[in-house]
Amino acid sequence: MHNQLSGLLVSDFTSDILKAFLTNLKETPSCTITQGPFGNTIPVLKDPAHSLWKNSYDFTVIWTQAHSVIPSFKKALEFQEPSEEEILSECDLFIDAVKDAATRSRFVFVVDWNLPEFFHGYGPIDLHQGGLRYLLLSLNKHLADGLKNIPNVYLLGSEKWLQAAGEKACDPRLWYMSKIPFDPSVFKSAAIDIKAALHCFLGGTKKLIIVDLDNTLWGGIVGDDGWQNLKIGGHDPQGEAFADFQRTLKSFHRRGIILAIVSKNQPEIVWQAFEQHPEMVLKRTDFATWRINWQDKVENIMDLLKELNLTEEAAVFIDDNPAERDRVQKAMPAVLVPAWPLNSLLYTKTLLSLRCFDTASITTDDRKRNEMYTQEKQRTQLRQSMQNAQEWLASLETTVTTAPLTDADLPRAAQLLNKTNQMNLSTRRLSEGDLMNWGKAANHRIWIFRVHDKLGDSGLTGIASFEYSKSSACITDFILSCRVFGRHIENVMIKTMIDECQRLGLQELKAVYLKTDKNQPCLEFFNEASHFAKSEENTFVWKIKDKYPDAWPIIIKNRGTIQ
Amino acid sequence: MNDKNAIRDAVTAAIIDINQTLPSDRQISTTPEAALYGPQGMMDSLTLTLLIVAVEQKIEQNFSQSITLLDYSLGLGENHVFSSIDALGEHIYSLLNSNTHA
Repeated sequence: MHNQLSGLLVSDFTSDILKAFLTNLKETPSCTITQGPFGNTIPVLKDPAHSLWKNSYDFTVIWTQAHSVIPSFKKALEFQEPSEEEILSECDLFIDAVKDAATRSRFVFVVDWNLPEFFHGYGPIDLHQGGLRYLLLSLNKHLADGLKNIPNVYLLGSEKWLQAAGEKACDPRLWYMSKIPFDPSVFKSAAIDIKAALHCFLGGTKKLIIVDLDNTLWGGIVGDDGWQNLKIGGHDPQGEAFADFQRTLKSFHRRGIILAIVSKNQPEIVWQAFEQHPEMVLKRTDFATWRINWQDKVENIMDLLKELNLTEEAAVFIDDNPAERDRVQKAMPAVLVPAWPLNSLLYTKTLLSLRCFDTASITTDDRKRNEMYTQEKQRTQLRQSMQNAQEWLASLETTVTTAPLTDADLPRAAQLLNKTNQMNLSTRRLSEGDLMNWGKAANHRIWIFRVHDKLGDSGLTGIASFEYSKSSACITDFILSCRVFGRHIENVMIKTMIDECQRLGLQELKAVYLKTDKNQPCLEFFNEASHFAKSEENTFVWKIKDKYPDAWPIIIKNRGTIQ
Repeated sequence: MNDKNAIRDAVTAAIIDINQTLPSDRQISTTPEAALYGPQGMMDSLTLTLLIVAVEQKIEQNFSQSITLLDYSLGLGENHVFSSIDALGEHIYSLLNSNTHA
């Protein structure tokens, strides 16, 4: 789904192994890596004229050792007792250097600092003020605080990589022979995490978990055993594990992952179990949709994705039955079907270990996503009860609020830009900082669109932008969340751009469709519903002198104007 | 007395670990007679370092004995015990048994 990404490694140790894993691991995206010189981290990061910065990088990994970039911390390791202020002021120099580097790379990953497990410090008082691990905690906290407002910088925690490697995580033999501070397995975990983050930043975040029921969400077969005899909760290892698994799914639901059910069962028996079992954690209302019947699961999943306006790439399918998993994986290779353990006590661990839900930010809209899908279900039901589409649209009483992009909307806008695949004209991917900077150019315009109707708030669901010169503007981004497709929001977005073209005295607005595997809906809109004339293959034009049709029955509100 | 096959298995397991860090065209062969380090070998000095540490760790783990594979005074080029898996296995075998008899 992505082209090869270019990455720069800046470290104060031999980074060849990290380079090797980033290059050789099969996980997407594939990467080509440039290594900075050994050591001299801060000068390299701060100096824009350094030869390394002649190239541009999609991402930079900055991985240092605290005693190397914070000289006072080295003194602390030698029990020379420097002041905490001294240590933190040196940390500020490092933070400034990272800020400089962040202007030259799309994404910057900074690895936090750690100490080898054999470093005992002051023993039982090492976490007291003045102890080494206390200082390390302060340093990492200071680093996190210092970097938190730089939108394209991500602080990665190394502790879990070291924990996973166990006792061999920091082997002094590797350091003394090759200036490698960690076991290769530590670098492997780091590379997997970095690649997963990049994959997600570039639109690969999974949005939907589809679960089976019997022996997946609970122990037992509800149709055979009865809801009273299902293993869930109670004083039983399996029951506790299934309850925990449901709690974990519920926590994913809270952060905005959509839940759905595909199960071979009788629906009335299933809903009775959900409603009557006293230990059931998940409720019917936690699921955006379901297919509970005896049909093929692949057909059910396809149908369910269509209902949710999602692609196969957005979905994860969890089923205890290996035959069902195999069937889905073979028929729908883009759906993530994790290998699932036989032992139900390992379900929660397996779910939590998935890296496919990584995200660059969590917005209010994310947390409300499930609620929004429930509202969408109500809209569909309303649509089915109406004679025609126009009558349905009028009944929704939709309001679209348009506004120029501001800092407040930046995290959600960047997320939408980087996640949306279907209604996306150019599938441009940018970090928050790059998006904002792009919008600041004198001949660029960028808007966000919020959608609200009588059933609820869909939030920030659209982005439109154009670039103009002389008499013509060309649309750069035309992005709409799949949740609000086909409700004339698209036409409001076009109208907003045309109004600005009029204000600027331009003569035409052009859209050039860049085909991807997934953005066919965008081409269909421009062909069938945009009112634009097709000037050549995949190019569409609107003459500004013509009156663009009203996007009836939508109410448009403008919030703020472009200066 | 330590089993030569178990030693060879430990070396092979270490090579499999190291191969994860190498591109497909630079994988180290796990056949006993295949050249490791030296004129005929595929390894650079960094890979050899990784192999030394990985093998020492596997031996510590599997035999509960600590060994030092590299004679630091000789340098990598002169340590012919790394010429093949067989040669390395023999070297480890003698180290372990000299430890046992000491």
